[in-house]
Amino acid sequence: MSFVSGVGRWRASLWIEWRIALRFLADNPLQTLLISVAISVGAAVIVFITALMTGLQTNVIERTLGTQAHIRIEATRQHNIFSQTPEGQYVWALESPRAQRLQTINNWQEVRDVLDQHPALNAVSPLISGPAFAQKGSARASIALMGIDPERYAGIIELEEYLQEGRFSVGASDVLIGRQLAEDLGLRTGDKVRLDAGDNRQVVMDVAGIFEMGVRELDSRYVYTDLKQAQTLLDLPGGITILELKISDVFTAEYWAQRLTKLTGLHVQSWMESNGQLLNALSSQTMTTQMIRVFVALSVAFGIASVLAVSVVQRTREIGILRAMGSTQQQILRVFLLQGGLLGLAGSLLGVLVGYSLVQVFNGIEGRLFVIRLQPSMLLSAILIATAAGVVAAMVPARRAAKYDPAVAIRYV
Amino acid sequence: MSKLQRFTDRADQQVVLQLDKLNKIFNTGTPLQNHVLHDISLQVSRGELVALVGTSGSGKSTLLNVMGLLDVSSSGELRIQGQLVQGMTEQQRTQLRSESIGFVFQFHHLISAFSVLDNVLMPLMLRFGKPSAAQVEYAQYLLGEVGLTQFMHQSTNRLSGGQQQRVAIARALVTRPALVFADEPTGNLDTQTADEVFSLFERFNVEHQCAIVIVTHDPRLSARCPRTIRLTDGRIVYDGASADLPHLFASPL
Repeated sequence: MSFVSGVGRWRASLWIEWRIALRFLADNPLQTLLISVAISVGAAVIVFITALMTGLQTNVIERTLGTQAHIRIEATRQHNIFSQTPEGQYVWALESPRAQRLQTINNWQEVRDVLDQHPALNAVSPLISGPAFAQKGSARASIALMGIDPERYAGIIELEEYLQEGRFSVGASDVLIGRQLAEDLGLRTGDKVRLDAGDNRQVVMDVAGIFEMGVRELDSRYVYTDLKQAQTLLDLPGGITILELKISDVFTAEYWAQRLTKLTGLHVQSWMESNGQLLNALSSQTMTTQMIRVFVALSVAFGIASVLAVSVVQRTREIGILRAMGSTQQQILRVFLLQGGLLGLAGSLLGVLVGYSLVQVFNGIEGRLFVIRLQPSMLLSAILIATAAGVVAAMVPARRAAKYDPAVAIRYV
Repeated sequence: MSKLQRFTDRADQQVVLQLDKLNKIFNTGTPLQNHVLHDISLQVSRGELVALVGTSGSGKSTLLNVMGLLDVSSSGELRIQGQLVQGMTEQQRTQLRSESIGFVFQFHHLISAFSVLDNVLMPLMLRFGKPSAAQVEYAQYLLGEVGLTQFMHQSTNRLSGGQQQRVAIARALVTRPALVFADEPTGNLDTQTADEVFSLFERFNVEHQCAIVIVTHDPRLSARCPRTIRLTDGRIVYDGASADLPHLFASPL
């Protein structure tokens, strides 16, 4: 019974608190407008910088992962094994590390089939990769010979998208080469090129097409052919050296790499491991952005707090009147908390609008490097956080207002 | 003595306000300690109209604040409609204030951000939230009674001093309080307006049977109250029928 009436009273009183809060804000339009503009500038900066950084990082990661697999599985690396030392004896050994010769992944078809069933993996592509030379006339260039299964490889790198001329074909006599290599060797589509993998394993092939991935290292070194031809050239009949994998959430790559190490016992490496410096750069960028956001948010919160502190003093007498008219301390508290929240809400709504427009302007610039995509969830969370920050900022002035002695406040001039 | 007799009879009726040896000391325990109210004991019954007079600094306003639950006493007992105030929490005092007490101040103290009607409704809205049709109707009736129906939806800034004070009276009465405290309600009004405003107090006192305690400096007005309480240096020096006030105290100053 008392609980029900308590709830009823709470609901009933919140109505008048909304009214008083709105009236107080509307009663001082200039102050309300100025602080709202200040809040909206802050919110716009936060929205824009967040969107910009997210866009930039997404773009960098997309570009990086556009030309490499998320996870690579290679054969277990070879290392020296010593014969057991008899008990009670010590052996001094000078060891030179084992050279890693090209070796196939054992039972790779079975590993592939197991991985195909794995729910976390979107694509599994066997690959044989080894060093060779490309030769035209007397010009030679060192290359990375890549034997691929074109259908499966498309799940890792959309090679066909990077194709600039010729046709997408790898086979017994067809190779795809990078733009840089084509320039270095003066090759055009349809030309012949000699591939030499050493030990007299040579073959002359047709340049079926020329691709450009935008990464110089790849464009000058990668030469694609099919699995069988590469296996023959690299003298690994039936073997592959790498299984490339793609997953849905790129940032879980490290986690899955460790899981797959345990599952397969092979040498597994995630893109995050092989791109440590990039990730490091991205995370320090994120930290910088985060700091800017925190400081902007702080200055906005202090802005709200100071405006409300002034407002509390200005309205001392009115607070005294309200107390004399029977308002509780909690009601006064909530009136000012609501004002803080409303200022945060109004300011951030405006700010989100401005931030959105800034992003549109940015996206409209000719020759921009990337497109910023604004996520509605980000805008929503910006509004929610600003509103909550407004309420928190209002805490100190609101408590002060609630603690006013009505007998004194009412005489305040 | 007949008037005193009648006075005693009234005290036997329903007592709405009772003070017993009430003291108020400011800045207790500091060099600035200031004993403002000394052992104040008095009773006010339903429907009484009481003038509270005294020189400035005699403690009238402090007494009014304590009786109106805007301030707390240092010692002694205060009962509003039989409820002992000492020992109540701030929240309980606020609730008792909003249920039983109406205020009218010298500087009317309206809230300019709200319309005249909303100002009158404010005590009800603070207590019950969105006002019911019946509550709005009653507020409109009170505004009609004080002659301000046509200003109902205007801002209070556009009213004259006398009009604003009449809004404040309507506001004080809207909760149908048992007690109304008025702190120099006519203090900054001209004589004619003061008379009109005072007439309203007299009328509502009779019609609504609420007890009204008015602090006033105006001897003409205090003489119109049946009972006068005179404070000097924080002590009651006279409490009785206004007509019997000794000549010595007739001047409020």
